[in-house]
Amino acid sequence: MLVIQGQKELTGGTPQNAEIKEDLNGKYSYSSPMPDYTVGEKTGSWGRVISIIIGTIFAFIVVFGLAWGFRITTRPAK
Amino acid sequence: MHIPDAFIPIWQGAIYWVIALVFTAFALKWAKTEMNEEKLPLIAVLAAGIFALQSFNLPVSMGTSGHLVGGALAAIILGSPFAAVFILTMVLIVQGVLFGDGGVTTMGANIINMGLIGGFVGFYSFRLLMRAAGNVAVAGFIAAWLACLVPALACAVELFLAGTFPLKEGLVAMGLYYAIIGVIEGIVTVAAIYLIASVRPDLLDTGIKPLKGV
Repeated sequence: MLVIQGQKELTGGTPQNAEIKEDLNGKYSYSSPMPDYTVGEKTGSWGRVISIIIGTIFAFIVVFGLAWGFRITTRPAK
Repeated sequence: MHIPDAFIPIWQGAIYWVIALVFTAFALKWAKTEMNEEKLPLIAVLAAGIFALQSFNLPVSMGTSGHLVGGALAAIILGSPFAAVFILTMVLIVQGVLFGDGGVTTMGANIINMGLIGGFVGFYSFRLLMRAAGNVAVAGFIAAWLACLVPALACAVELFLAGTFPLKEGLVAMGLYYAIIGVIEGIVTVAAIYLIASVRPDLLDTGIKPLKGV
């Protein structure tokens, strides 16, 4: 299956078009035309937690590695 | 605030990419010249922290949501707007390429919004407010709030230019949501500045003397 990175569709014209639904308990839920992303949003709550943890560690490693590389290459010769 | 693929025409995305690459080159130059043993782990921790902060969507009204940006945090703590461009670029690459959080063709626009605009607005408003008010908490809070709000407005303008979203509604919606989220961004930013200032004040590169006494 081809999955386009970041593909998302607008479901309405503006946020003012957000669909408001009332359930049997008198609570309201909203269907927003323009919600933002969440990391791992299609993987369930545990999947989200694991995705965020992995992503946070990965971001640390990537930036640390790149910064370390800069530090090595720019270190003045003794 | 992460603009997905297909929300911006390819040619507009290419223009945003070129602008983002120019500033990313300056940011890499900053990283090369400013990098030292003390800053290295701080930069990596900030990147990880900003990734985590952006991963938690804060529900606002009408079922939509937004997230913290972190541009002001990086720029203020590391003492350069290019620090924000550097860190946010790396974070957005990880988010976009690995997690589909924001598009690849629109990544240039996302870098401009969160890294470039967020970093520059946060950094220079902090400096101006420090000169005017001289209070780290006030300056940090307002700078972070602005650095959350202005990129959101820029995002709305970009979506309007792309023909994706009407300008007025976009500005009102994004402005309203991120004005609220900016309050949390301000609190988090000030808390982070004070935390680092209290534990390792030598790591702060704010150029502001009163901060040393925190």
